[in-house]
Amino acid sequence: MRNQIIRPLFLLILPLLMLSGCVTTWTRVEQGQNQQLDTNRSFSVVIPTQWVRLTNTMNNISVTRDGTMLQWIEVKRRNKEKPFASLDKALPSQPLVTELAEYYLADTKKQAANIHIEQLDLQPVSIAEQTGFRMTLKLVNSRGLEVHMITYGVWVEGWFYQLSYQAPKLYYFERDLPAFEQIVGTFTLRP
Amino acid sequence: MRIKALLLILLSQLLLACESTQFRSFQQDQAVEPTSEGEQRLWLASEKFETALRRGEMIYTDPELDRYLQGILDRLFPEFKGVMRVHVHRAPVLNAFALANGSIYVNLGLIGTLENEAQLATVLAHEGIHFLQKHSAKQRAHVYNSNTLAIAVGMLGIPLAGNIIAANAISGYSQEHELEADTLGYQRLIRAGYARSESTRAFEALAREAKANEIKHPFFFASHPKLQTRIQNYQQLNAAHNAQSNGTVGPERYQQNIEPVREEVLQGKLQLGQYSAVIVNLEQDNAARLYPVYGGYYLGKALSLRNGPDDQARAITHLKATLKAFPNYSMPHRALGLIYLKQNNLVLAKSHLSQYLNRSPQADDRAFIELYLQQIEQQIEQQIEQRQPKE
Repeated sequence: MRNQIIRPLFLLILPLLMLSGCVTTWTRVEQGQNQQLDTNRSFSVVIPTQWVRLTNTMNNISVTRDGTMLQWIEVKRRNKEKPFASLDKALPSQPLVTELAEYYLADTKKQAANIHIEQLDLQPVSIAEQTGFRMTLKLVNSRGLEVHMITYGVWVEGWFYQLSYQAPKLYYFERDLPAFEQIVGTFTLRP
Repeated sequence: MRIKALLLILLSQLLLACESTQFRSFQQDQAVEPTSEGEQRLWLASEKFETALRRGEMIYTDPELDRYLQGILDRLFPEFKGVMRVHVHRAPVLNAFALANGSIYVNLGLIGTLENEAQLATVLAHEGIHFLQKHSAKQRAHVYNSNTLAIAVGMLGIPLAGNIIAANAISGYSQEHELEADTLGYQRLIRAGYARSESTRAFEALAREAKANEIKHPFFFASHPKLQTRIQNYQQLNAAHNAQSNGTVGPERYQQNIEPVREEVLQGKLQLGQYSAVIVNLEQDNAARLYPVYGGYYLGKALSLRNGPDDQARAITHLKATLKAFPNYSMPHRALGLIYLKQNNLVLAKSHLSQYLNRSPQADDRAFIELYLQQIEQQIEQQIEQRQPKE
């Protein structure tokens, strides 16, 4: 009798629990709340008012203005042990910034194996008083949509920090690029 | 209830037998077109798949290379000239696949790894047989009739044809179909006058890379166990036929047509983190012929990026040897400079990075190298200051 009640109840609750993990929570950034921290409180950035932040993500700040398909900015600190998980290799303790860029590109390409990815530009930059890289990539999906992506990457005390922006080349990329560069300018590592 | 289920299974097995036998292979005197509704769907799905590849810029366009590859395919299947078309898939991983509509795709990575024309002909003959024998249609019928999957797929409304193209054409067919492709493909090699002894070497070359690769791919020609099976099959075929008989090997012609692609393939593999795959290819005996001038540089770079035990020392050895052979080649200076910089050997790092910029003043990464040189200068000055006695 007890089983007859518990089993259907369990079967009802289980899919709901599973689905709850898939639900994304978006919060609009209001005036005065522009400075945003990641869940580990390891870094902060200033997000423009009225942009929307995805709030149930770990160790990263993910924001958009009109939807992630139109523009998507992600600032994150990667896993310390395996920052480039798909490469399955140990990194040097202090990789050169050019090497760091090569590992990042390899990891990105490996994760999107069926998409054509082309490196358009790579330049050294200073982020949070450290030397990092700024890489521009072109991605083309199977429908022919060209998406451009800019990533700032920097290695600080064994952690890889990444600030990425991607948007369709048509209209959105150029339009929201200044907002991204502004966010990059506010990137601050916290003690 | 159980009887009904048994009857259902029995019926599905009977249907399987019916469907599998209805696919007759394409013959010389027949029109090459789909002969059933199922085949028609596969052709349409293949065309959609090709459109997606084209839109996604996944097709490598080089008219000269296309002409050369098409020539090999036409030599293997002269009666299907104009029906079977070969394209280059812009992917550095090892693979080739045939679609139901007669298009054969060879990955750039596979072309860049093989050593001669006879080896590529082996792969094209194998893939051509998959098309002529309608293996994708047969496999599709088999999957449709394997009860549970068909029900699940039907309920979810997943387009099965697309799945079959992705799953079988790219990852491989059943053992029976693969064996048939080996056997009939081998006959095509003989008829076209290619050296059949190269057939096993083709798969050995691919297996060597597949085994070394850090990243395991699901693709048929990147799967080490599947390649081992190919090697065994072709060894048996060679034993049954006179494998020592003469035939076209075509190393020079292949190298002449492929050489512009080889460096691009090495770059592509490094950009995908396939360091060991690059190393194993560049450490083989004939590497100097296949990868002239730049081979030693890419070997050094791959070793340096892999960063395993002794890799940096081995990289230095190869890079120095390349510089000795080709003193005006700038890239080894870059690679050596970066290794010495990591090792904090500032004097040698400065020397090599400066020589790199002198030889390649327009280098894309000039800004990075200038930054490194500035940092080196600062560190050297600091070291000098520390050594000076304090007053």
